[in-house]
Amino acid sequence: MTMTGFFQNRDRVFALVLIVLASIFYALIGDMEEPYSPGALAASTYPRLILACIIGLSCMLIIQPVSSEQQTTIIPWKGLAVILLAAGYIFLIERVGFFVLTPVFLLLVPLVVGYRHYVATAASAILVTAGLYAVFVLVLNIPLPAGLLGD
Amino acid sequence: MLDNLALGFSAIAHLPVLAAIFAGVLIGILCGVLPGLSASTAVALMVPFTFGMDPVVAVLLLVSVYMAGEYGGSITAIAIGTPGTPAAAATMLDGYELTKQGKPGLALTTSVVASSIGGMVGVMALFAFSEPLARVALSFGAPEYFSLAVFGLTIIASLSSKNLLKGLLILFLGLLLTTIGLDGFTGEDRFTFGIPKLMDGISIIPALIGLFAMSSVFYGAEDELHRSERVSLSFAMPRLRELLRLWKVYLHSSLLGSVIGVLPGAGATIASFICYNEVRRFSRNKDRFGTGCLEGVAAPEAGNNAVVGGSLVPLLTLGIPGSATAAVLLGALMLHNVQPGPLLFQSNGEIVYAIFAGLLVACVAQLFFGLIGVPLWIKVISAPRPLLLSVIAVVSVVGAYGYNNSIVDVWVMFGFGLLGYTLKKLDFPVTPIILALVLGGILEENLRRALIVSGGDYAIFVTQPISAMLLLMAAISLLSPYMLNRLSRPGPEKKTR
Repeated sequence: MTMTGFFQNRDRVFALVLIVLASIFYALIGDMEEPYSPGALAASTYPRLILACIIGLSCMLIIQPVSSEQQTTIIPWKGLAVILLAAGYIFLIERVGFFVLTPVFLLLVPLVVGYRHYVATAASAILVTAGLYAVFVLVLNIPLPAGLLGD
Repeated sequence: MLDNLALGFSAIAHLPVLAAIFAGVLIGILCGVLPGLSASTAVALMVPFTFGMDPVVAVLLLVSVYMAGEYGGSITAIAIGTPGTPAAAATMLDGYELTKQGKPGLALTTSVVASSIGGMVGVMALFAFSEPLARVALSFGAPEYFSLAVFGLTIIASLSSKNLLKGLLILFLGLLLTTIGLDGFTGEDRFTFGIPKLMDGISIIPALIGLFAMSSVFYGAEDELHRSERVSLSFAMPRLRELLRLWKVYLHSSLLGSVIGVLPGAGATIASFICYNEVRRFSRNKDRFGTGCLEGVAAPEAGNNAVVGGSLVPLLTLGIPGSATAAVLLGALMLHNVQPGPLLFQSNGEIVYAIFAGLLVACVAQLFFGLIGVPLWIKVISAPRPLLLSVIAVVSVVGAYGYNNSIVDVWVMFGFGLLGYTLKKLDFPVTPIILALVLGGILEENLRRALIVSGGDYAIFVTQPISAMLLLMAAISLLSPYMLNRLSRPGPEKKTR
């Protein structure tokens, strides 16, 4: 198999990434305090055992025969856009506040996905924001980030 | 025993509790109807709404969502030929055929009657087996709990039967994540990278919300799911006589489903197909199956709803989840300071008996809402999916934030959402990581406790009879899905002349 062929198989690439990460973590955990009583395991022993299993199983995944249909995975732009929108929403929610940011997010996601019923989207954005505020803040007494609207 | 059931009914005979059960049934059916939202996702999404609730109200809301979610999937399967949940795939075989023949009312009514009977039989099984099993489990020590956790983790075999190696890899990845935080024995920090919020380890509820709900948003956004289904059906209700003649099917499949539910990992989907095949095998009219026969609708529906009660047996008595949804329920119970396990019957007996009684009420509510609400559920199928995705995303963020009023928990939820999405894209199973998150702590703690007791002798796990038996059962559980899969394959077709 060529190197290109190897990297076109997503399982093998994933296994390779896990081997690298597990090796780094194995080195990071280092040697921990000696057990304080006979038979007791050090805090590092159990994670090391798990990391060794991850490395071993990843090696097995690399050498296991694969079907020809397993190729590289492409993340469609819509999926990626929603991931970025969600990350932005989380990043800004404490700064801008739930009440201001949530309707914007609820308007943007359907637009990005390709939904073009603007009235329904706007109505849903307002109703859902108000509904969640009512349930969490007024009924369950769980504070939501106020952001720009103050404490 | 009946006294305990009476105690349960008295615990639920309050307006907030009954309202929670009815709301849970409605929400469960609603989520089950929507393709892409499983019962597990529905329960995970509802957990944040229970944060401030009384434990009894919260737990009954969630178990009602679980029960009705399993039923709701059949409505979509029958109406549009797309299973709302994986467990409804078997129902679709005959249910959708009946719809094509202009008899959706017949199929939908049979489905809700069978589901409700199956649910009740499952609860009876839970009632009958859980207390005796909990009494046995009272004698468990560290070696037994370690072996029990190993047994629970063997569930991955059935959930990863396509590729056990991938399932095991993801399981160990999940176990590694449970080691993050301060070590409970020595106080040393492991993989916290100096982030104080990680000292307590990964918060399980935000992680579960991410793995189930947020990942479904990312996955749904790229799919053709925004296509709305326009459905219009006419409803001719079946005669009572037609429903009653199926009593043998209801009983047979309900009992079979209850037993399958108790087995770790077999789950509702496998139960549906096994019940369908078993009823077909014993039928005198095998050829009618797949062409729109009522037995083909009743069997899988009774089976997959009976699984709910069955899967709560190991959860409540041993603290071991029997399915992915039960794993979410375990996290939710712990959130409300209810620790499932043998001591639960002594420490929180009221909640256990309230669950028994509440599930019986939920079955009746499911029958009621299922019968009168069909036109409404059909409208729900036409709901615009993009709006739903954005709402799920917001509920996930707000739910993770509300867990501890911390943005770190929201990032944990987002991270697990990305992980779940990546695993789905790479065709790796997600459930092993969920089970590992739930059972990882029990596994490590009891491994280390047992070794301290034995002075480092690993033989303690096989010299203690119950522990040895549990390890043997774990080995059998690892192999059982292959045996069950063989059973659930259709038998040889009758030769046509």
